[in-house]
Amino acid sequence: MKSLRPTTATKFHIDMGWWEKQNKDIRVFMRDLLCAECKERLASQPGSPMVDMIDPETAEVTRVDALWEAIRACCSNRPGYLTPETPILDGIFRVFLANGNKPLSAQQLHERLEKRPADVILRMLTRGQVYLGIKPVE
Amino acid sequence: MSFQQKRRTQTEEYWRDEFEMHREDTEHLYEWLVEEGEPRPLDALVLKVMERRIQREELALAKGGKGAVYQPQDKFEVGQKLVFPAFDYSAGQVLAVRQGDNPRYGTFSVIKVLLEKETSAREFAAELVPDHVLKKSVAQVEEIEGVLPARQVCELYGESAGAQVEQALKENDDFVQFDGQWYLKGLLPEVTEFHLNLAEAMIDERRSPLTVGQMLDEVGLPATAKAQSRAYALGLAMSKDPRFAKTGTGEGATWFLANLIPAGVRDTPRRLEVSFRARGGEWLSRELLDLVSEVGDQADELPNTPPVSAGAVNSVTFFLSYPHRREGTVPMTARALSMVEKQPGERFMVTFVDKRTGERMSGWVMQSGGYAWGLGDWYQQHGLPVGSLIELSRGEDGQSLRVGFDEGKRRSEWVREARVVGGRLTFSMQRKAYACRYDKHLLLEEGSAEELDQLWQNPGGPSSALFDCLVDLIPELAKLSGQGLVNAKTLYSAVNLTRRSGAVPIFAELTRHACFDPVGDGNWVYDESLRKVLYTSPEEMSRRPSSHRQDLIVDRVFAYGMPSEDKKP
Repeated sequence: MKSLRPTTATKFHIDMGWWEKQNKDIRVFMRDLLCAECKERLASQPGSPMVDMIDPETAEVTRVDALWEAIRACCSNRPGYLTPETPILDGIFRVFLANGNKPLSAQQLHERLEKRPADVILRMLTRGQVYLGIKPVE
Repeated sequence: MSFQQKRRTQTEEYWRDEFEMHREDTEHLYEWLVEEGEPRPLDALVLKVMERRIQREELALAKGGKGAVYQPQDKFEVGQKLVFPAFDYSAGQVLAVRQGDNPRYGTFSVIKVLLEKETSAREFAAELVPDHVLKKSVAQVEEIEGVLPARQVCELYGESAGAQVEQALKENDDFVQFDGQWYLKGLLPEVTEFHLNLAEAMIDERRSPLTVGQMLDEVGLPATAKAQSRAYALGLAMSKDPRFAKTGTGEGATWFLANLIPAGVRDTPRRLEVSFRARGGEWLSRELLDLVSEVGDQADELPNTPPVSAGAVNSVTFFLSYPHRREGTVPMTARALSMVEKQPGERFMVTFVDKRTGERMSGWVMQSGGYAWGLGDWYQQHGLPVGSLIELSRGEDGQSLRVGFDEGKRRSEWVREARVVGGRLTFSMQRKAYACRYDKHLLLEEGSAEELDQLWQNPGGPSSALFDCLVDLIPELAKLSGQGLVNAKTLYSAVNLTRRSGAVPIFAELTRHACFDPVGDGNWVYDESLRKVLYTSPEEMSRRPSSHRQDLIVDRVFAYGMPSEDKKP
């Protein structure tokens, strides 16, 4: 029933497989998004520690990277995480980090970012080059 | 005292904060629409979703053996049975308990649970101290409370859930919405070009709008689908075809051919596009307020004017202004509109019936435009000038309007005739004869309409344009009177020869500028030396301290549209 061509209803997410294939470390990008407090706290923890994260709606617990958990639970709620000046594709990346990489459509991204129409967001996400691993959900 | 866990689906918090459309909800609606075989409004779909959620909760609670409802603040033990509301009331058994690992939440534990119908275990928080939405929603209430039926829950909280349901349906390609009804694309009977051509031919032949129901049999869609489904499919297809224009909503909606809709109905005629309308709060003297009522311009109706209840008004009168005469339209104020019982949409057809001859004329009402179209020939036929008094009254069938004027002995009158000279509007007095009742101050002959067209000003000019227009017009009109007077109504009539304005904006300009002075009987004079002086307070507008006139009339001013007991005589 679904058409192959992405529409404004097609869901996107950060494809972790893309990061592996590109041999890039998403944690480097995440570390840049930490607030000062989290940066200091996590600096004392070497390696890639894992922590429990509690889903705000279902209370389900998942083991997640401590960096990502800090972004979701703390840093993404700080002013300055997502501002009108944040470039649109960076903003989309930050939205996915903040929501735990739950798939969102261009329409939903438009509603969360409150800028650029959904069709423009769709064009930016599908114009060829994959940016920060943001791809349609397969 | 006994405690009963309040059902989550009985709380506002659940529908407002927790409720999210799941794939199962959408599938439930899909199956329901398949069973119904007919489109359904959003309200009905919301009710179905709410019913399902309520039933699921009841089912879970009824299965007492499945265990307690999971709440993250509780402590659990291995082997304990639980029901998880956030997972569609799935039951599960605690397999293990471990210490939680995240200083952000303080001390807490984590239970490992295998939910029914799942093959791998999930983990959930337990003994959680910080706030969590699941802790809030499962309120403890004293004693057993009555459980509201789904319909009543829907009435209370359906609005909160409705937005979620609508959004989920919009994002799902299987569903389609038209005219407030939702249906499944896959169930729509196919409407081909052949069917649409037949519909077009039917409307063209009858030359009047038809409902989908009137066309359905002859169009001949396959009878395998229910009639309502066929009507929906035909309406949906017509809405996407530019040949058709919808002239109402809901069951009373009718379809007409776009090329048969008069230009004055398809788009608001430029002479009815209001440049200056009443906003409320303009300062006007008591005399000017009375004149506003006499003129009865719909551009003086304030935006928050409440609709007049049907049956409250049997007739309205108005003086014909140049824009309405030129476009063959009548102003549809809230009072005039209340005389039409059936108003199927923003744009719909009415029948005008000549009060004297009984002649019937097709017309259209444009609600948001504030006018009805279709009297151009009638104005011409009876030689009705600008300023003539027209009466609209309720028709016998609730869908027609009787239109008439007071016919009297033809008598001759000196009348102002407009002419365009050197690109400016000028006036001269001419002898004319009319056989209708009119207001002598509003009475105008427009001379050459083509010449006036060249001076027509569309909305969008500077706010000072109205004052400049008055300053240009007053000397022209004043020269026709022995004493240099201009009646406020004459000014209103003359302004409307070149731009559309209500009476209130014009009269407000007269009131706040010191260069205009009232000298009684609605007459005003102009003093060029005071052109740049403005009165800013109501007291100044009333007393007019800069005036050089001995015959000045001091009249208290009132804010237009604002309640004031003092206004009553």
